[in-house]
Amino acid sequence: MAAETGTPTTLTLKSNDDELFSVAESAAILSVTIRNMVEDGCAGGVIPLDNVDGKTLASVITYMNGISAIPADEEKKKSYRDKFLSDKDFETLADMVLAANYLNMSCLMDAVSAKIAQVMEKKSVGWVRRKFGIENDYTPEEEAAVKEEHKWTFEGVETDDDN
Amino acid sequence: MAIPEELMIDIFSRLPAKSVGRFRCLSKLWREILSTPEFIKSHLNLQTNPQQNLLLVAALNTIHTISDVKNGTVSRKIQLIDEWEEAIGSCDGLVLLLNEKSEKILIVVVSYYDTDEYYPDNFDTFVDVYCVKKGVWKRVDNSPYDLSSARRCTGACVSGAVHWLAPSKKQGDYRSVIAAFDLAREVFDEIPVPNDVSMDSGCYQLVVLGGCLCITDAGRSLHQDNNKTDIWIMHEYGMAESWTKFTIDCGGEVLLVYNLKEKSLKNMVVDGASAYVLDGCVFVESLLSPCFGAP
Repeated sequence: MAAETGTPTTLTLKSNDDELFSVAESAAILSVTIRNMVEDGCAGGVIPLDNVDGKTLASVITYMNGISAIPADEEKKKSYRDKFLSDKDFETLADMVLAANYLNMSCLMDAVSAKIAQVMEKKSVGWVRRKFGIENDYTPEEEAAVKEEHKWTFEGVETDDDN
Repeated sequence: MAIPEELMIDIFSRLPAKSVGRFRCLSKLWREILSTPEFIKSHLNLQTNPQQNLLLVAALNTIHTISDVKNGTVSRKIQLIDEWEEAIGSCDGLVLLLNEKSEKILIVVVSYYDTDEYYPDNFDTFVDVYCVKKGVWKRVDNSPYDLSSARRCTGACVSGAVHWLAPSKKQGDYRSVIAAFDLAREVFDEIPVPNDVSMDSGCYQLVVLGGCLCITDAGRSLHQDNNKTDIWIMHEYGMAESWTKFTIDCGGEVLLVYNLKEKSLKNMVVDGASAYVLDGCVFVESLLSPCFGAP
């Protein structure tokens, strides 16, 4: 059955933990991945998004609806993005950057990457190792030497708040 | 949770240079990644609105850097071995300092810092480019402008070109133009000057403020016995109609901060710096180094 002209088309998205979400096609096609599926005619039934969990997808859809409701005004879009990301913790932001990458949403990618950088700016080396799962392969001597070389960059580092 | 390396590199490119320096201590792999020329370049390019830092050259072999002109008045003191009197200019995080007495020129790395340095030749009108990486001078262009008077002036570096005020070599026309030396193409272009600037006084100077090319004119304060300085800003590079003029009224030899948006002027007291300042310039943070790529 063809959709009537002017009637908003709704898509159904499915997260990898089997939650279903309805979203207006006009908002969902902010994702190039979804847009390609729609253009290829693969969006008839349910669109499975295997790399995104329900919690993250709900958040991404909130963003899609919010940003697409704003007319072409970069300032307003930017302030929406800032507000949208302002209360998100590191884990949520990490999930969102992966989702934005998978969904191919460059504006959300940029905003989340910038926000993560802002969160980690004053964090300790240990905090970043833990959060990003980076293995310290320096010997204690090597680590002391590289820290001495970058001594001035250790001023003003925040005390870790995650343990 | 595993963020792929390419996404992590993108995130790290958005950090201030100081944080990048600290995170070189994460692991050997990350030290390598955060030191590649590709990373350093993308870090420089992603700083779309970099914080402008202020550098002051004070007496007694000391320079002070101030990282936040808006809120802070606390300076970082850098003790130097030699006496440097003049901050010639800054580009992509590199600051060039000059010592008059010994006629020595040195590129000083203030945080992490760049590759090439350029300097017009003394009395003739060729342009020589010094490539720090190769350690050689190269004569690149027979300049159509008389740059002899520009020799001691700061070349204002913005939008990939170094700018000097210089008269063209045409007979009978001694007015200065803005000569822009394009660093990539190694040729001269001419940038239009504001309509209300006569360009025949010796008091004009080119500077870069907030990433825009500016002309300052201290001539009014000399000729009309007041402390007014005219400043023109070229908001859009190369666009003659984007020149905007404003005037600041500064009383005597003090360090002032002028807020263009609020049109307010306030005295700036710098903690830790001496009241007597020889020179100053504005610079941004970067990861570039003059010894980059050197063995």
